[in-house]
Amino acid sequence: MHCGGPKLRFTGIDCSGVSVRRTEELKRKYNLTNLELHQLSIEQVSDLRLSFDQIVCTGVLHHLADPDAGLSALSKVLKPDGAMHLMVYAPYGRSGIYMLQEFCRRIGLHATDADIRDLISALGALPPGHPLETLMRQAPDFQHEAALADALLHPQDRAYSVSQLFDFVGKAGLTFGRWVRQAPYSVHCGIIAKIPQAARMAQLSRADQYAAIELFRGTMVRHSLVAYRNDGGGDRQNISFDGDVWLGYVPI
Amino acid sequence: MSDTVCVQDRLPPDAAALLINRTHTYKDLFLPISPTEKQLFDGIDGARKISEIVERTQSSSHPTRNLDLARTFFERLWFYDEVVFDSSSQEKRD
Repeated sequence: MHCGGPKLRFTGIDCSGVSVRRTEELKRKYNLTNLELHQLSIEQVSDLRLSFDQIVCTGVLHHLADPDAGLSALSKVLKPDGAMHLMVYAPYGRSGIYMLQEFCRRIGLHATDADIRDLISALGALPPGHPLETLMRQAPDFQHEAALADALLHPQDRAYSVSQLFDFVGKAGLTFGRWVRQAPYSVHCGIIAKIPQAARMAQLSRADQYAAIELFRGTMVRHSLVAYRNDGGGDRQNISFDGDVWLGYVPI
Repeated sequence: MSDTVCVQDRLPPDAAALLINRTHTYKDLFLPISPTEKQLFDGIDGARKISEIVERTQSSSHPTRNLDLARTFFERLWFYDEVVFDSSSQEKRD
């Protein structure tokens, strides 16, 4: 059995030995002969002396002590025409989490069993309309106590607004390609297309449109995007409806 | 299109279906499509190029109009995350 197909090769890295061992078990269980695993931090990825067509890094960079160094390290091992799929936290939709993180810090709560139990009990008493209450109701991640405790007691967690994200990606030598799910950010889709400011927003640069829409929607909890090297040809993968090139696309 | 659901109940006037991407958390992100657009949508099988789908549904009296409609429709499908495109044959051509 193979991941993806027999000609594809996959490399997974994780700084946690426990995670790597668990993944090794799954690799054996499913006989994934084209998957290699290494216990390695993102910052050390160049030690592998490999370069990659596609890099997937979701939910990791925002927990690093130096996310800029992490993303730069990944950028250096991306092939010039490769693509990178990233996911980082977004600030406005997570404001309730950051309020409760600050609450925990101020009163000295830690990730002990007793503190987690008491914290979960206290969350049931949050007043209606608290920013975290809505998130707990809507986000599947927060239906589990362990995930909620991890979110509220994680010692290292930063979020990126759209503007900060474009800076973050640019500093690493990358260029924004597209959102993995683009409709929520589009001036052409949904309620945003119908508000009186839609035409004015459409005049802005792409980054400014997305930044304005993030503020208007107000509840985004994460950003998932595809980025390319800004010195490579990866952006040629962008979908275009100019000319007649689109007639050759195969919709899936 | 594994995340796309084609709803055909309680439709707005003139719509043949509503397309919804199940992974969207915002409820305003649904795409009403007309009967002609539904024909194009039904032509998607993961193997045919857009040109082939258009050819199958095209009426000979208005080929240009059909092409414009198809361009707008597939672009909207793309914007609304209802499809992804395999563009590899185009990249090879380049």
